[in-house]
Amino acid sequence: MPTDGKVASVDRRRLLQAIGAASAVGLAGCSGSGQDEGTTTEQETDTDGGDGGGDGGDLGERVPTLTFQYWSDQGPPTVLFEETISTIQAVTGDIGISLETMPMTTAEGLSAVSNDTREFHIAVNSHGPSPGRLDPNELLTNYSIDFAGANGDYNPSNYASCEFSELAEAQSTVGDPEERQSAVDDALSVYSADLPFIPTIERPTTAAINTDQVNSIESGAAGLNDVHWAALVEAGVSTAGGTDAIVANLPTEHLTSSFYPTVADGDSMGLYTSLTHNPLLMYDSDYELTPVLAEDWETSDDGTTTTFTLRDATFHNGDPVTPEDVKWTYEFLRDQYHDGDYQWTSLPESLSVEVVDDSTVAFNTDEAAPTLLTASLSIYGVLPRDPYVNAGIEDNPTDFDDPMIGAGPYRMVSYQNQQNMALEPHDGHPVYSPEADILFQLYESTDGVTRAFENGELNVAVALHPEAGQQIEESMGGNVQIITGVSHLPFGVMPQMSFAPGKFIEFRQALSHLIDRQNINETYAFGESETVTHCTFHSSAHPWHNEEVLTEIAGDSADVDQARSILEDAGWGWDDNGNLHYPPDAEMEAWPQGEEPDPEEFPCLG
Amino acid sequence: MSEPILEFEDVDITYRTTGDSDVHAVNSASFAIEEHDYFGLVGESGCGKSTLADSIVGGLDDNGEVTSGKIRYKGEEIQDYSESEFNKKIRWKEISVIPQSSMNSLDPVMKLSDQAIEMAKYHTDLTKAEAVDRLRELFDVVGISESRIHDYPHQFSGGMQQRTIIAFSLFLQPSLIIADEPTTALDVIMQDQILDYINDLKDDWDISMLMITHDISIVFENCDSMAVMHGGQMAETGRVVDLFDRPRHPYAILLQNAFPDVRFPDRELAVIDGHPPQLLDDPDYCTFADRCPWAVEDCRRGAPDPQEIEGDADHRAWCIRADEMEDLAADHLAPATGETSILEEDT
Amino acid sequence: MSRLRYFVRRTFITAFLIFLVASALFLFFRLMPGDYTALLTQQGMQPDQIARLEAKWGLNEPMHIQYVSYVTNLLTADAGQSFRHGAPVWDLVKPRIINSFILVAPAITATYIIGGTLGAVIGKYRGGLFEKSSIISVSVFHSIPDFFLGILLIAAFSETAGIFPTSGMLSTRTSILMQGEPFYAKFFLKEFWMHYALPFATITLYFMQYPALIMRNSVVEVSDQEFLHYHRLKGLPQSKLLQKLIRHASLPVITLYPISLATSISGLVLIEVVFNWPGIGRLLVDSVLARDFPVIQFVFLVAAVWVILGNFVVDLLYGVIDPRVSVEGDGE
Repeated sequence: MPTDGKVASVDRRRLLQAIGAASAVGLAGCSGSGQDEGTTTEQETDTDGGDGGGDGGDLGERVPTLTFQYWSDQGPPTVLFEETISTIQAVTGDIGISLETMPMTTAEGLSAVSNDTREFHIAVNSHGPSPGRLDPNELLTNYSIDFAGANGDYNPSNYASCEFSELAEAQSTVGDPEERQSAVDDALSVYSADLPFIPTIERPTTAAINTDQVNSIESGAAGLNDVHWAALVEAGVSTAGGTDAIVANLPTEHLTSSFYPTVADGDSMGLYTSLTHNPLLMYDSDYELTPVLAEDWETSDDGTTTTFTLRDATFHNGDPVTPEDVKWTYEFLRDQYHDGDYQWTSLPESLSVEVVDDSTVAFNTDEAAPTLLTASLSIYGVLPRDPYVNAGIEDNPTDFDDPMIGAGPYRMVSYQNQQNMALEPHDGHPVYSPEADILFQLYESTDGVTRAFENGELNVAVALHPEAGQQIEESMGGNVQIITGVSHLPFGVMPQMSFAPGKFIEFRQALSHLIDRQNINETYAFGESETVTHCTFHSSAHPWHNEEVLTEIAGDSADVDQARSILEDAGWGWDDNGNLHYPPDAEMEAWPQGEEPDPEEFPCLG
Repeated sequence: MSEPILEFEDVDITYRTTGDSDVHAVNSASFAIEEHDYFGLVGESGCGKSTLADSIVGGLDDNGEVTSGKIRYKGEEIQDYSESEFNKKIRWKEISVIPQSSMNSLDPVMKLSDQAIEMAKYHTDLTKAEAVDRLRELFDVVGISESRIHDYPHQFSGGMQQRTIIAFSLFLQPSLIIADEPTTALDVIMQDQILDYINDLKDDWDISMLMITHDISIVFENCDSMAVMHGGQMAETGRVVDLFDRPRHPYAILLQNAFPDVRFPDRELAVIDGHPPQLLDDPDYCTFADRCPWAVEDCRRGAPDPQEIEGDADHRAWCIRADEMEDLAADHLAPATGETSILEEDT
Repeated sequence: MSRLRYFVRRTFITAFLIFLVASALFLFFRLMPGDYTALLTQQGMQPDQIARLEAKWGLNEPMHIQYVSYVTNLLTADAGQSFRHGAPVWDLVKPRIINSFILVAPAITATYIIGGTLGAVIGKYRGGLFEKSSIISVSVFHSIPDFFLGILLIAAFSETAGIFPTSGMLSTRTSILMQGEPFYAKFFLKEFWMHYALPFATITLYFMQYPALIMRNSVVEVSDQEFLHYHRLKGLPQSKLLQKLIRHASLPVITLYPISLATSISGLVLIEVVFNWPGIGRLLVDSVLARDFPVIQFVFLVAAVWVILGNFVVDLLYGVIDPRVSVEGDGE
């Protein structure tokens, strides 16, 4: 049975979260108190020994108290994690298990999973919606067997499947987009049936616009968030009522460096790419690839050549965007990624860029490079060669005086590290013509953002907690536009599959049925999001989403009976006190702790 | 004889408290200190003697007040003086104090020379250098090396601090010095030294002294006149010789017996049973009555009036049976009559 | 032993302490679970890139090699490079220290002046409603968590009364305009003081309890001291007596002041977060969550040095203001 103590513990953390202090609480307890709090829950005595005692021999070991780890420092998502655990906790008594929570900072949690430390059975985390994950390749790779086990690589649930891994590998070499879709579908179909990730609800994005100061905008499925600003530029956003600029917030992971190609943070790159350093093609506000500096493109059948026709575009310094700039940019980024110090500009090593004529440029690779457009060229913007070369980027790629020139719809006029940034419209952009200046201000706490927005210090607020959207709408009435969207990756639960009980498919299926998705949507997102009832790491808005190949894993609400019958069918049982037991002779580890999956059992590793 | 330098006439001193009743610390105190006289005031702790001393220099706590009677200094009534009047007319220039706890009386964060300069600043026109010179002279008088005038108090031993206090009390050449238990905190050898200094002052400086102590023998050895107090009331006043030879208040008699006497080393020390009463009411009885072996009903019927003791000038006892005391307390007085006292030989 | 020798000895001990703290910080953060590269994984950085980063930062070297280079760098006044920002740590930390300092130093000073005065008044005039209500007030302000006190003030004076802004040191627009100006240029703007008021008030109210209660007790205690009575009997005027009372009663409060100033840096973290004040506390939160070791180590080191120096200053100061604290007494 869940105890009040545990509920209180979760609620108290939520309160702290709500007042914007969770990050600091995480700090205060960075290795000590935070963790203790979660783990000092009741340990039900293991009266039944190893093999089921007197209950008639057909019961295995008793399922221990399950530890649910979650990230305590993620702002609004942390609230979601806690609510997810709460809904499961509400029905643990019915299924004969008990659970305890283990808050960890993101860094701690990631390390624990990467090293397969088995401190917790289930991780209630999320896949960060970084722009590169608009192509499935990255997460498919992460879930591959090479990343499983205690090797420091992050496989979110230590999922080890040769069949899946081979399919995941296969899709990465398919050049033709349609064929690739089918290869991706094959991999995701296996993944979906294996249930290494139990999605719960779509990750909502909430933003607010003060319509007294800024004209309201249209937005697509993606909404508006701190990484994805397409809706704003597409709308050509303008101010109203004599306001001179848009003042928007950014979370603190941004503005760590003005230096575009080396920003340490993949999310920050999305910010700059959206606004100041446009690429040839880009994801729009519906997560669809749309031409920006290029007019169109064509990929050869074998997937080794893509030819772009450039538009008439200019950089912020007035110079035209030429094929030479494109060539220099991507070859330079390629070299720096493979032999230099750039970590985010993942381009194929064999990439060569060819200037075909004044407005045409061709990207060639030795083998098909299916992610070139979807996960690389759409993510890194084009740089003007001469200003950057003159500034010394080639001699000193990580430490030179950044001219901050791109070809995005906005020009950077001022940058203060970890504080703020001012952008003004660039009128040489071929597609977008925004009208208003944007001032970005960094905020530590999401509640601080809400207060500042309500007080008129901000007129655009992004990365809000869904609850704050409700609150703002109530307090500001008709003067506010709330923009809700869906991220390209959903929230979910990652059962650790390297050991029991997460290693058992029936357990993962049962767990999925214990989650009240409708309830989470109501409590966390005020019904503004959607439940996810098929297993996938993509959201319904993701460009590669294909529900047809996915396995349905639950309904909108919790279904304890279904969970019980799944477990019962697989040989699990309950003792006289209603405690859940493994099947007799159940194998408790997929591989020994501290090791990687064994090539004997996983032939693909051999 | 000329006018007394200090005169108390029926002085009542009361402390207001937060409770219902006030504390009547001193009741109808009357005595006089003659010019150039060393006057001893003796009593148990809590009998009101320190309160009485404080009232002379306006040093009562905020809640203490002279409620009736008169205190005359050189003929002038001072009991109703304000702080600034005390500062201007009495304190230090006329009357200085050797306080009870010399160890804690010197400002711990000021050099002694600075403390002297401060005294000079508020009472004289002396320059700093002159003030320091003056302290130097006084250090010489009390036997402290002149080189130490720039020291801090904590660098001095207890005896040196006491001598410094004496030096400070002489700083403005006052007419009267009030010494409140000047030797209590000191060891026996140091006590003698200090008392020697105090006695020397009598001849070298033209001063009077009010010496407050619980040790009656000190008074006998050092003073000319004295008063004994008990429970906020006067018990007996007079010349030391008279009180020594002919104590007429039971308390004074018993007190004398309670201290060892070098003259009669074999005598057993007396113990005075009981405690003085809590002075929460205006005592309309003799406060010693409960402890007095010779108390009669009348002792509790009203505060005793002073009785002149025949044959002795200025010798008075506040006891209704003072006249009978010679007979009543014959046992206690016996040794004094049976042997010759050293003191008598001296006088 | 001379004062000079004492000073030299204390300086040596202080330097040694700082070295110990620096070493402890190194060890502590290396033992802390999770590292910066783990977060990069979450954003999709691939293992070979992470390995290269670790090589670049020397994170794959054995611990003792890392330690030696850390200490060597510190000795040459090099705090290293931030993982996250790719910039020298000192460049990141310096403006933050200034921002924190201009908030905390005046606020703590005001706390001590106002709190000390309040304490002196209630100590001098004890009993009665004023004393009771004052003690209750300062205790209540201190028992509310500091950040929550900040939120309450925001609710009252920003959201309800609409007087003060809720966040930042300047409005975003002004902050951008003021870029490149020296840090004190903003002191001439009314806007700055409007932003300053609430965090300043929060710190002042929150920390008021210490000086007020200590001063009160101290005044009560010193009032009964014999030397004050003696000063009175010596005929010093009332004003002078009061001055002496305050001087003596202030000793423990003065001692506490540099320590409060030093330790308030930790209390500042949440207040900075609530008010979005770009100070050292906010940088610390960010850096800890991001496991940006060079920054964390350095910020903690700065905080530790701040505290150690605060104590050092107190020791020296005390020797000056209270001669009883003997220099010799310290030397064995």
